[in-house]
Amino acid sequence: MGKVHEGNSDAEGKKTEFSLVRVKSTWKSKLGKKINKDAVDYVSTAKIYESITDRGTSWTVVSPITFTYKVTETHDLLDPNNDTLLLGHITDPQQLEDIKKSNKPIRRFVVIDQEVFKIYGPKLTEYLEAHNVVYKILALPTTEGNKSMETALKILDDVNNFALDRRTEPIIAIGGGVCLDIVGLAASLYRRRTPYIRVPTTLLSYIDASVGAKTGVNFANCKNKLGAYIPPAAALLDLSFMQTVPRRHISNGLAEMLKMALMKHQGLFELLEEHGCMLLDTKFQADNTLYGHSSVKVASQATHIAITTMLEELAPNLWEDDLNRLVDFGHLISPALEMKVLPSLLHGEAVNIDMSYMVYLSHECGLLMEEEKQRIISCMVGLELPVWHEKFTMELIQKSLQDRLKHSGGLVRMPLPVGLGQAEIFNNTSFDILHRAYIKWCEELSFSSDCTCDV
Amino acid sequence: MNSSNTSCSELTEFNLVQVNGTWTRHTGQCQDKEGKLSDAKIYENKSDQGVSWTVVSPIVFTYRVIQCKDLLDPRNDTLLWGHIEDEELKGTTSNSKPVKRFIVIDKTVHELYGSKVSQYFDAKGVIYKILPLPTTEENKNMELVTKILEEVHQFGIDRRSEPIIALGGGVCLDVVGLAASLYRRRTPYIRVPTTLLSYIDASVGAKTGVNFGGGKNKLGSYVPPVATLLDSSFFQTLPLRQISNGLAEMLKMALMKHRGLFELLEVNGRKMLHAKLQPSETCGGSEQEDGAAASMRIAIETMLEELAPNLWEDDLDRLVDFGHIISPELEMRVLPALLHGEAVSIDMSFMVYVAHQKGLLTTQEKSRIIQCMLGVELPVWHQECSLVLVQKSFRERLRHSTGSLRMPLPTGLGRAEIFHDMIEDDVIYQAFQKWTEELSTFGCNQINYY
Repeated sequence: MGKVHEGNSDAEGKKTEFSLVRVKSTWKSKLGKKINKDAVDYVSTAKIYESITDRGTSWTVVSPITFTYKVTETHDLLDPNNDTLLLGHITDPQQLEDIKKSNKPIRRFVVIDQEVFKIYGPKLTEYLEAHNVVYKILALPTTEGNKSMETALKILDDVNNFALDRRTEPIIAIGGGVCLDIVGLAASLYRRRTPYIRVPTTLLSYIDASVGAKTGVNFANCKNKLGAYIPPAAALLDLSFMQTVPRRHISNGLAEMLKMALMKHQGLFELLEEHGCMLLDTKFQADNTLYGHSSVKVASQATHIAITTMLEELAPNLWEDDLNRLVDFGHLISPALEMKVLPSLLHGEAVNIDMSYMVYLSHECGLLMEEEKQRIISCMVGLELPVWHEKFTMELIQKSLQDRLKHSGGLVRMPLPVGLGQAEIFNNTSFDILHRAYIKWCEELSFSSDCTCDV
Repeated sequence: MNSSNTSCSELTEFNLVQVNGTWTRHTGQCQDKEGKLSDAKIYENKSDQGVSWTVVSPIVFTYRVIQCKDLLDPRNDTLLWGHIEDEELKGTTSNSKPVKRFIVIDKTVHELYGSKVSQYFDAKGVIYKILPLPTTEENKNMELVTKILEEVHQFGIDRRSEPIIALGGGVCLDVVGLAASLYRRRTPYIRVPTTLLSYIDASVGAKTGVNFGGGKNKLGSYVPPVATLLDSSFFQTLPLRQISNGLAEMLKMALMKHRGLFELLEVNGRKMLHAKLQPSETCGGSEQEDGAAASMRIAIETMLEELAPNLWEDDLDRLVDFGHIISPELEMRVLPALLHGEAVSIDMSFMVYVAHQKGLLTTQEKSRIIQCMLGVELPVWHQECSLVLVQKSFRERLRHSTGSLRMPLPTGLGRAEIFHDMIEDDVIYQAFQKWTEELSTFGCNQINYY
């Protein structure tokens, strides 16, 4: 490569492999795979394949990019004695040491949901002051309704004025899933990629939004139609934020936890079945009265399993190259339902209604036993989640599945439980079965619709 | 003090194996396990603070850069299927589903080639929508991206198998690339550059972007297209000024990495410019590769060498930044008076004087380079490129590149080094003086462009 050609290659369609090596400041392509490592500073994992035809040359570039991110549990994130908020994303011990020794002030731009700011604003400010951080806090409402590119650009206006260092000053997002998604997208766009940190303050974002790579905003009345797959430098998980989360929002988060349990983990399902009420009552905190130490143990176990099962599914498929995804369970029909009745259903509530129907479908297909179906629905009810909704109609189901076909390369790819804590992906469910399941679902559960009224 | 990185901890490495559609993590060796093994890994670290997981996930970006001829000739399949490897192609073309394509074309390009594009897709029986849009540096913004997305969304494309096609210059390719990166978090797209500049520069890497808050390319992504289709016959309808514009980026690669390319431009530059890099008649049928063809090929190869190993700019030391340290500020300041390549040329011209001042280039080498620039009718000086602007750009560079200057400078004809320390004030001053003394007379060229 790079040589002035003397004649046309007669090896039509043959591909020549080139490795890429760096010598001082310059990259050079080298024929073949064997590289003399002593002569070069560095060998890249990228490769170029060249083939020459009579119409010209064509090259295929193969370039692996490695995404590395941390998901870190901590206690008392906003206690000035805890430096995780400022340094928890750093993986290199040398870098950490250099920063601690340096006199340079730490600079941070923090985006925080307005409601969260009302509760934690003073504590956050105190924290940053105590660490002599040069900071800017941008508090704004982050709701499904304003989860838009406009909001992301508004954030970027302020970020741009703060003059962040390109690599060493991550933007911090504190809030629920919507906040984390919007800030994540804004950060991904700024300078084509700016590091950011997620601090989830709701249970749902704690086990779901914070742990993967997805960011996004809504567009043309569709959920998350625009976004990116850039993970944060770190997600910092502090369960103490759950103390100020309303009970309804704890249930909301439990829906995603239940999703992972139904897809992958019987043990987690049994935890939720048995201790769901306790988790709701204690909000995942240590409780000194009724439940004693067991509440912390259960909270910890449940969140660990939820996160590890989620990471197992996301890490090998970070950019969704494989459209078969167990984590899509509960997400085939809920997006349309959620947008239709906005804002009356929370995300997790919509997901649960979807899952509830799917459980009936599973049973109708002979994949779940009656007893298993009942246990699951009871568990959902125990977690105070809605299991039915009048707007979840056959029409909505059909439209959603059609959209799913378009969105997923021509296959429905429907995850369905095939036992408690086990699942598979199905593509050929007939209208007949969908309909029969729907009738039974309405027959048995529509009485519970009282639970779905707006609070 | 609670530390986030305590040393009393237990670290476990997990591999990930998929069986029957479910991923599970495993410690230890996994070769004996049934199922699919991922390249991703999870490291779990247990400490008294709690558990910390580190996810390491490699994503492989693969894209094709294909030279072709007669792209818009209905007998040529490349525009529709060039992005697919031959083995997969059979499955696609035999599929009975109608083919759909959404094409964004720069408005000026549409006036010249719009009907040919329509004819192509009509002949192929494709369901298509052409969106002609003015794409200029001034409207290279998020609003334009949103407009494209609204139309794409309304048209309806398959998530993976119906790439959006962008036909135009660098601005068009950048804007459409960003729109495609955002749609469904990633939609495949194809670049068809119609200017020389985009042919050898914008089209070959991963960068997409729009301007924001007065800054060039402040928002964007590093998602490459599935394919870039290179047909130099588009240059026939380019004004000469645009050809020179593209030659600036070609010269950049030559100065940084390829003496042979420099010599081609030195000797044949003027001829290539006036022939608009079209194949020379005297070469038709001969085995010798045409000068223009060789130049384009070498420009692409040298660019790919530099971009492929650093697709997401993890390494901020980049030879391809040569000519791009002062030019962004200059370009935005005099917008729209200077084209991108022209600003780059002025930047490079000044940097050549800096290199000479530092003793990295001989007087003769410096002279040959400037002559080459003039030969291809590029500007080598500009009155708005003041000492103040230069110093400001250097300071911005320092700030923007985590404290190191990272300045590529030629150290001979066709080779370069990256310098990390700030250039001494007196060197900059002397270089600027000489540069102005020797080249400001050539600044008269700029008057024609106002």
